[in-house]
Amino acid sequence: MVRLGMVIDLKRCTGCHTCTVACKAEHHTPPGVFWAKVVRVESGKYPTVIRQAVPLLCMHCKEPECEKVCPTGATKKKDDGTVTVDSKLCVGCRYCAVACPYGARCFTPEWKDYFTGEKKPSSQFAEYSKKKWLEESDKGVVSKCNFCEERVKEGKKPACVNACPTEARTFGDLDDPESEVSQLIKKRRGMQLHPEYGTDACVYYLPGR
Amino acid sequence: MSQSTSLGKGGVCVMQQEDFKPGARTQMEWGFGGRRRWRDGALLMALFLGGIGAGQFVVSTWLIDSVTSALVGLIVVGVGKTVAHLVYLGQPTRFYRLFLRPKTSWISRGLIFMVVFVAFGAAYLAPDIGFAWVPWETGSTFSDALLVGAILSAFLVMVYDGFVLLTCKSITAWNTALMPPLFFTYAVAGGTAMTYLTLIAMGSEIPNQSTLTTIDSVLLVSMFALLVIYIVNMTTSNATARESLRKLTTTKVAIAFIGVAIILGLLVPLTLTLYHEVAATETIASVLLALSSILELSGDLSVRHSILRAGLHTPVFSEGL
Amino acid sequence: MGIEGVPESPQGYGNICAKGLSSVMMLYDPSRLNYPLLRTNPEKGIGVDPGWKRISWDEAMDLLTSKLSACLKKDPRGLYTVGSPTFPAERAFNILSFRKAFGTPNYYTGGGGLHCGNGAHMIGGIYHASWSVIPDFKYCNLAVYWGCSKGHGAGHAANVAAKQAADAKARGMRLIVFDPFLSTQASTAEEWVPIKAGTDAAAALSMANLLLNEYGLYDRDYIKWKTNGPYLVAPDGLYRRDQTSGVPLVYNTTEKRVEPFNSKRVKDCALEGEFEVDGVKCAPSFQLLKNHLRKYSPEHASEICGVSANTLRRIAKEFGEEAKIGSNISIEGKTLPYRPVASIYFRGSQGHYNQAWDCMSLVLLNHLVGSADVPGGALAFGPPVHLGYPGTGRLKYSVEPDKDGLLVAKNWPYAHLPYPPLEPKDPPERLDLQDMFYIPTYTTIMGWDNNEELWQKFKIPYRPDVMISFATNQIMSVGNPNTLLKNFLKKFNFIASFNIYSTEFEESAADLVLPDACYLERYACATTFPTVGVSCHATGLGEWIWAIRQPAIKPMYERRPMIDVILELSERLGLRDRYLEAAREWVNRAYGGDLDFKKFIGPNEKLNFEKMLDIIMKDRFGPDKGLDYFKEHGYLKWDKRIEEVYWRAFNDVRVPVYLEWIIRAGRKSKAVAEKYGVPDLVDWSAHSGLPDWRPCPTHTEKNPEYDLEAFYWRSALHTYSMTMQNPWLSEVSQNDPYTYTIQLNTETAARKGVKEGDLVWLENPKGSKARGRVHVTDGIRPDHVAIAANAGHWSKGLPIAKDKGVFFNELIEIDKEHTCPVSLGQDICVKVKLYKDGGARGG
Repeated sequence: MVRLGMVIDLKRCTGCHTCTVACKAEHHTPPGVFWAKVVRVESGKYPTVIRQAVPLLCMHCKEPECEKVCPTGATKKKDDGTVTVDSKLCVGCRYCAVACPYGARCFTPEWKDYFTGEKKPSSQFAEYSKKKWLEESDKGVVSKCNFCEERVKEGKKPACVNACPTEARTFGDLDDPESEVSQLIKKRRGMQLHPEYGTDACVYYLPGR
Repeated sequence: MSQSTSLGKGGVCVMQQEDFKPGARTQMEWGFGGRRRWRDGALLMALFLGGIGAGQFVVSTWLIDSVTSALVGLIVVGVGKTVAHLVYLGQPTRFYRLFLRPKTSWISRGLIFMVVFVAFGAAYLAPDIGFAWVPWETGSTFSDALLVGAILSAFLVMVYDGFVLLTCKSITAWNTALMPPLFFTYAVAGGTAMTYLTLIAMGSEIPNQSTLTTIDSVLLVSMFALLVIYIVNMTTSNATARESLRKLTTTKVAIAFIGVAIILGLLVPLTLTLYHEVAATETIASVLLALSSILELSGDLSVRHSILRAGLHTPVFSEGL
Repeated sequence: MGIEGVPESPQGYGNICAKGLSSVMMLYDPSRLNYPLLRTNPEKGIGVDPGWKRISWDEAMDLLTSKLSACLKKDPRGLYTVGSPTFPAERAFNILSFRKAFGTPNYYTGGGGLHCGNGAHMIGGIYHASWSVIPDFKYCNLAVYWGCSKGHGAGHAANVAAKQAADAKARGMRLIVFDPFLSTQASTAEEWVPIKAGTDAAAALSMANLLLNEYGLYDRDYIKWKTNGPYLVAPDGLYRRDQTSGVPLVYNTTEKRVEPFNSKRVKDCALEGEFEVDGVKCAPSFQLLKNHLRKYSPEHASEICGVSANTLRRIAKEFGEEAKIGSNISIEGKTLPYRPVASIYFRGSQGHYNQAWDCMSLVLLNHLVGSADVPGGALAFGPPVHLGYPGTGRLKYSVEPDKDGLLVAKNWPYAHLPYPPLEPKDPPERLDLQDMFYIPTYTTIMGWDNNEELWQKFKIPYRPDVMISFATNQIMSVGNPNTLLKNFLKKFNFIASFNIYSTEFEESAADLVLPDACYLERYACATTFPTVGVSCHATGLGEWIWAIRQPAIKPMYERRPMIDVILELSERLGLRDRYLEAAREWVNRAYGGDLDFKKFIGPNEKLNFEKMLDIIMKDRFGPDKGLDYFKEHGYLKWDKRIEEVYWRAFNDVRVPVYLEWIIRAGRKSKAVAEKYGVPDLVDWSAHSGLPDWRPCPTHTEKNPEYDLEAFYWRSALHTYSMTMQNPWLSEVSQNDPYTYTIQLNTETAARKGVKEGDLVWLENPKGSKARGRVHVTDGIRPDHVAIAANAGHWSKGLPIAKDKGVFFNELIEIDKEHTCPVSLGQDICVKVKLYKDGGARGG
């Protein structure tokens, strides 16, 4: 059984936000909605300071909290491991958003144009954008990273993986011990975020130092 | 001194969304101050109304006997809570989908309990509120069974929201076994308060005064104790919990939490309960009781509001990785 | 509809950064200029409403033609062409060729803020025949970065350098970053060395001192044969030259005699000592350098730069040892020197009063250990050497030595080479007096308060008349906008501006605005920067690429690519022939060859840019590789050859460890200044042969109230002042803690009672102010504040950008005190005081 997952190398990441924008460009997410983002974490005291850029997205957990708490069955974990939200079934109760430990879930109150902030698209591209967005999601429902289902179906890599200039992101089958992701996790001691919540995340991070 | 070129407006606008913050992140989904400032508050109202309405039904059928008050409680849940939920939902026309996953989801369970409660409650009250054609009578075994069903499902309505919050593992302020008993106790107290208010409004006598007063005092003291345990627990929990506590006690939320919930909602009513004993006239006693009830209900709403606002997610990324 | 990279193209190998991916929003921005606009409000100034009136292209062209005709008749030198560096290929055709045809010497690059083409680039040109240097990521083991971000998201060839840098670090390359704050590159580096802004040279010179005088870690062979180290210098500071040939002399140690440096008999020469030449005691210039560096003890440097002497010692030792002086490596069957260290500088270390010498000091380290343009070292970006496109052999060029044996770059994006120095013009003809100097491409002088006085003294017979701006936002990108407006822009009778938005520049100063086609709507050749003949991407071995930009869609509304307008203007003004001549000269100088447009364009044929591109590309790459080929394939690539990458090992050219020619050239320029009664135009003592650190006004500020040093840094999310209008980038920038804020040290913030998110003012000693929100962090020196990007917009034509970020350039003064005396580039660090904005609520 394929279990899709991702490995993010914090040593290679420079926090350039290419993934943030690539995801937005691919899925036409409206203002305020970020399926992929980069958070800047800082620790230490001058001059011994660490600044780490941490790319975040849905962890597509093996034991997803969101699937458990969803009352409508809109959130499901597919056979290949991807956790998806069916926007036609979601009611927008947002239980998944409060239950998710990774802040992966986004709620769109209303589609807004990026330039005018209004419901009416300001250009052909905005119209196209709105149309593409409504194919994947809707207003009043929750959305999130879906490992670029459409791209993966065509044998391509997710947009964020494809776009990253430092090649910090790798995508593949976690259940295949010879896959690049499995090898990276083994060799570089990849770690999950918040394993103590029992989510068994399918996105692993390689240490930054 | 030259004028700033940028017409005195430079550098003002910088807004970072919660989900980009590296530390503890406020949940932005439920309660006033959420993503949709006012509309998200409807969820708070739904939980509040559900608790106090179900509580009122239980108190009005178990501790005292008032059909009107029980009916008010039923309507508060059946109409108030339902409408509040519909106002909150992003896609309200699909509300029926909320009931589909009782096996894993506390929202499904809770809303099923609500429907069951309203059904049982309505059936139980039916003979007394003009639906004489129903084939059961109040007092009959069948009616008693309906009542048991109504009360049990009411209990579940009063407690389920505590479980909803408890299951949010990454929100330390919610992820505590104290949530269900806290919400349950508040629902009982709120129900009592609602009952008093209904009876006072009707101009009726309140039976079993001294017992009820004792029960009230016990409830208020319990709630106070639960909050104290809750706060102490947070100080010894993780950094996020301490951040939540800081939010509850030192920011704007403190007005709701300490000002309204604890002082106005618990300590004042507690005092009023004692004074009620020595009130000079019936009218003054009623007024004091009504005041105490209103304050207690405000406290209930404020506690729920505060807990929702203080719900901080632990940082997604822990240092040391 | 979207933007995706081409995985096989060496220009990024499929990766496009956030800026590129979001450019589709620039295409469909409702604020885009769509029609020509005329200013109806004659008043110009910051915040003044121009009263734009839409006019037709016919009207616009008629107006522009009439203004330019008048200028042409009166004095063509009254025309100033100003361009942005974001489209260097087009710049050649717009600014440089048109102005040449018109007959004006006056131009500058506005987007770079009078900073682009001076210190860093000219030093790169002198030492590496290149615009910039970058580590040989494949082989480098230790790279020392001074205020630069190569491979971390910003700057040249950003994406491919990012991958290479990541690979290098994974391989084990160590990065030591000297930076006043914890920049991206410092965050991912082995070591962050918090240094005071503008003091890098002191640190580097102390390291050079240690290498030469204490550790003895320097590459004697390299210095002997690849630098002017052995050249004998007389007490007057100049080379002692051979009587017959006039070339510099060296001391032949095997035959114990003084000889011309290029004599075949010289098998070994002296680097140190004292030698008599016709009774005159001379010393090799390396000896002079060695002596000179002694005053830069680590302790002395530490006082200046705020880095401990121990740290400087340790890093110098590591650098010298890791250089593996004397070792070789075999690549592709060729044995080459192996020096896996690199000292890399760029904009951050450059932007200071002493920039020419600052950059020289930093690049010098490579030339002391021999790590210049060899495997593992600091590589030229350029490329300096190209053996020709396989098949046609065109675009072939190489570095050459001049008669003194010093490196002359053949491939340079500007008309004026970094070396050898041109004779100063007496009197100067340009309004910025650049032509009486020899290093700068342009100067700040035309913006000084006393510019009119200088123009009179230097007998400049004309004054600013017409300006054509090609996509610049000079009001935001040069320095204090009030100064620039008052001293310079307001003196123009007519300003026409090509742009895609109505920015602060158009609103404050332009008379006519022409709606340009953005880069998704027009053609250009050789898209990347530096685009000098052949655009190189990955440093080290790999592939060269020649790519074009082509329109994804036809320009919408009435937008017109500027080059089309310029070609039409040339015809209207009767400058067609001169334009083609200028373009021919430029193309051949920059790209090599003998192309003549007139052979392919009939005398009455209307000038067309696509045709010109077609001609150029067919000439370079073959008759089957014209524009049609590129329209289909987008690019052409061919393998790099080792002689092009590690060219220094294959070319007999030297670089100066002693800048003898600066002494001579400086004297000539000084003589011109004295002749016209302005003896103290600049500090001529800086035109010396040896590197020194000189303080910026920031470092000598006496008033203790101004206790913070403010500087600017480059964010990977933005390009100049343009991208803040892009709503995707704007949104991300607001969510990023650093892009739109003022970074302030935690302790300093506590001391000043400032909290996270507070709105504060930064004020410089002249009273100029900038406002912004504070981000409290431990990742910055306590005595510095850091501001990113050229943000803080206020124009109505940029509603998304408006009021976001900090407008740092308000704090930059345009005057002599803030101009490098040698390269005439800008000093952009500033001492400020910080105080809270009273009464403003949180945003």
